[in-house]
Amino acid sequence: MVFRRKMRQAGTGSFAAGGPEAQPATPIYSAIERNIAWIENLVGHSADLVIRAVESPSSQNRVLILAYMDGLTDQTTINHHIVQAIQQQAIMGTTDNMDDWLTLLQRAIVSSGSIHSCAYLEHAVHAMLDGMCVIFVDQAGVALVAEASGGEQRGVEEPSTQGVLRGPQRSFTENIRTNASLVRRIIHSPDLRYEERLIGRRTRTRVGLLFMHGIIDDRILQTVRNRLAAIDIDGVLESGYIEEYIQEKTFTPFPTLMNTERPDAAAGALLEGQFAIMVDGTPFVLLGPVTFHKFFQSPEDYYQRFDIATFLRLIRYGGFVMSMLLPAVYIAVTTFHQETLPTLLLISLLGQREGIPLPALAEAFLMEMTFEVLREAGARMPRAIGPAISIVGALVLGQAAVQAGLVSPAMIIIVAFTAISNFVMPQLNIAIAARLIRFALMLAAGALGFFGIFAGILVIAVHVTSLKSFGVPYMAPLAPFVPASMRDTLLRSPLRSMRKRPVVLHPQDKERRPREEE
Amino acid sequence: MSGRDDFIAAEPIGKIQLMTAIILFEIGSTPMFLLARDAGQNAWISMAVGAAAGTIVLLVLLSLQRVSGEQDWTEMLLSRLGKWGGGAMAVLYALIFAYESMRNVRDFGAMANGTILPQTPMWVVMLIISAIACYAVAKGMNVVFRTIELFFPFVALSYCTVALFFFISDLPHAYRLRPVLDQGLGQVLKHALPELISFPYGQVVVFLLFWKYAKEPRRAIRVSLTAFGLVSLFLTAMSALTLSIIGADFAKLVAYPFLEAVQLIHIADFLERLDIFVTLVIFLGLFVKLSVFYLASNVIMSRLTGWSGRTCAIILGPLIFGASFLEPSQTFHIWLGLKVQVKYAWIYQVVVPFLILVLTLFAKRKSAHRSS
Repeated sequence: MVFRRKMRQAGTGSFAAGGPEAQPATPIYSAIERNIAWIENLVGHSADLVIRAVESPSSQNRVLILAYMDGLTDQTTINHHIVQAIQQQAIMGTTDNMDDWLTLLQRAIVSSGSIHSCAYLEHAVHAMLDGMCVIFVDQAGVALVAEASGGEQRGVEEPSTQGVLRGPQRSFTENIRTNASLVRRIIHSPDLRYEERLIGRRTRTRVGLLFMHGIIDDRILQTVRNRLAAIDIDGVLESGYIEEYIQEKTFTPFPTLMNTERPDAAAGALLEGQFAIMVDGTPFVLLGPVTFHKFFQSPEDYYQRFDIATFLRLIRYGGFVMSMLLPAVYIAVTTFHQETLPTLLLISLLGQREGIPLPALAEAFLMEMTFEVLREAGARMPRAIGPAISIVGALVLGQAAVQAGLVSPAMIIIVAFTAISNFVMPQLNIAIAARLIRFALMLAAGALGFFGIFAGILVIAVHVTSLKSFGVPYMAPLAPFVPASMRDTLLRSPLRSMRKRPVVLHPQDKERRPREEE
Repeated sequence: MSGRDDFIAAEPIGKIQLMTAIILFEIGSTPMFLLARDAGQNAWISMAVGAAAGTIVLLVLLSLQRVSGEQDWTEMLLSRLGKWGGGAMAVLYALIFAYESMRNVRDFGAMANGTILPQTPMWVVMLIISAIACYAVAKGMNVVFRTIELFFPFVALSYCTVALFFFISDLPHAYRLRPVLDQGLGQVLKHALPELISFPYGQVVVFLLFWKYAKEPRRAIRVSLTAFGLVSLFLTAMSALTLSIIGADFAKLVAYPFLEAVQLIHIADFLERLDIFVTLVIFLGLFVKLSVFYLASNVIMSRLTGWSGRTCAIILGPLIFGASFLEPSQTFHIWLGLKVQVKYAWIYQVVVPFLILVLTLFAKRKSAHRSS
């Protein structure tokens, strides 16, 4: 608190605490030194602020001062298109009238991508922090803001978390404009709309909303616009921040927004009537509204033959169910309902458990937790140590635990299969939901056997049917059942037969193509 | 729509939702018991006769819904019998539905105790299942109906699989159903009426509270009739199947004849002891029935008091759970249900709605007179 009060007193205004849309209060002074002093004071004489004076031959007496942030700007643009242009310009004619000269400066002299004038120092500073070059002119009372952004950026690379065997191999990057362009390179349509706003009082992060005009349902669009506008937050570091703020329900393990780093996935979603939200600084783009089934669909489904794609989809659903239920079923069977197993299998299982000191529930919990730790370690540790972890994990914890008589070999198989089946989901966040639910179901199975699992599934079913994503029921098109959407839910029918867009998203243009063309 | 209606059903109930709800509701736990087992090998004919009678009940209810248009059962009672009379009647119905729900909770406990959880105290199972029902009902009508819809494929698939397994294991034999109608139709009728109207067919009366929210009221009538026809067929077939597998004499002796039949399934030394899974499927039906009754009671209460559905659900849940302990013993529970209740339940299921229908028709004629 003390710190904050100090900040407020020390600042030259309420600038830092103001939101992205805060009203500017300081008009640009006509004396150029005052402007520079104001800015330098505001950024606290930061070392990366570059102040450079230039003189123009076209107007002898005037001093121009450029202010920009080093590293956010592109040196070539500043050198060639702004500094040199101003210094060397002599042919275009001169004028003593200030307004005329400013127009001349904008139109004929500075040759960077875009340039506009601004009247407030706050605006100038924001522009400067966005990577623009601010040009102050003595006695002008306005400043010119020239586009000069650049600096080091990661290039477009292969997707690292959502790979496909067949399909485009490029991923979104940290630059929001690059990301928007990656989608535009796929959908060459004027109906592809891109709206941008700033979110975050301090980070002033660019957040872009992409949608297909004429396809997306207006109510969905309005809802997402309203929810984005309502966000009031200090900083946005990743699209996860936006996701938490605009989702319908916070207390649920199930994600109601999808994220992707694949431009083709985003383009496909837009064409189905979803929207995409891009956040500057992260390659993960949010897609919504989503239903449960979207998390089991990979863009690759549509690049492969429909039969194999259908098969893979069913495998994914199976994997989801397995990764939720398998350990719970094992616990229920070994502790409560041994009679359900065929006798030989039962003898083999119980033979393995002979001499195991732990009850099945504890055994399963121990091994599942071990795996979760391994997995988290695998995600966090430095890459160079990777092989060490796999040795420790596979040999020491698996093999040795069995040989030491701590856990039964069957349990290792169960844990391993559960873990592997958790990875078949193309979307990581639904897999996480399955992981969390797995532990709850294991407890339920340990307490009440199959009835516990049954009760657990009932609760989950009631919960998921009550979820909505931007007004779209989460379990659609299964509940409410939409027969027309069955072609692309559990199955993936041939592309020719999928003539309609998903009904549950209420697209304005209901059909992908008119019937006549068939 | 008012805010309260929004909570009860924010979206209209689609025709598939209605159909699956009626089917699963009517199935409930019915396959578990062999109803009208005193009719011996003719029990399945009693089921068919009961279904025919049930269809007539359904027709009465549907025509009442049709003449009353945009009203649900509470509103019909209020507008026909006045504020006090209708209110009292509605309270009575809320209590009846809550009682039916309570019976299912109790059945749940008993059944779990008798099959898959012999060592767990009954109240644990009952508490858990009431809590889940409360959770579902508090989420509103849409969620309950959607959940039913979500489970329908599993239930349908399970029963089909079991039927298939019966035949693969070569269990059903037609001779166990003979002689057909050895004591004439009278004996069959005697066991079918009114017991089989009261349970399970007449219980469809509860949908008087939900038809109003159907998406297309006209089609809802057809959908309801179709669903009822399908489920009647199913229940009759299940009854016949069970009888043809274990025979009438044995069926009279055991608590859960259907489970006995399922235990006989034995395929390829691997698929055996399926009774646990079948029990879970039956539980699902039971849960549907109990939560639909709960929901009905909830809707009436919410309408009468003006409280939100969530509040009502939270009040009703503990009541239903608590009331299930009022019965002193399981014997009493079965006696009350299978001996007393089935003799009289048809009054609230058919007679009262029929009277209301007559009153409505009179009132309509009167107002038509006046306006002309």
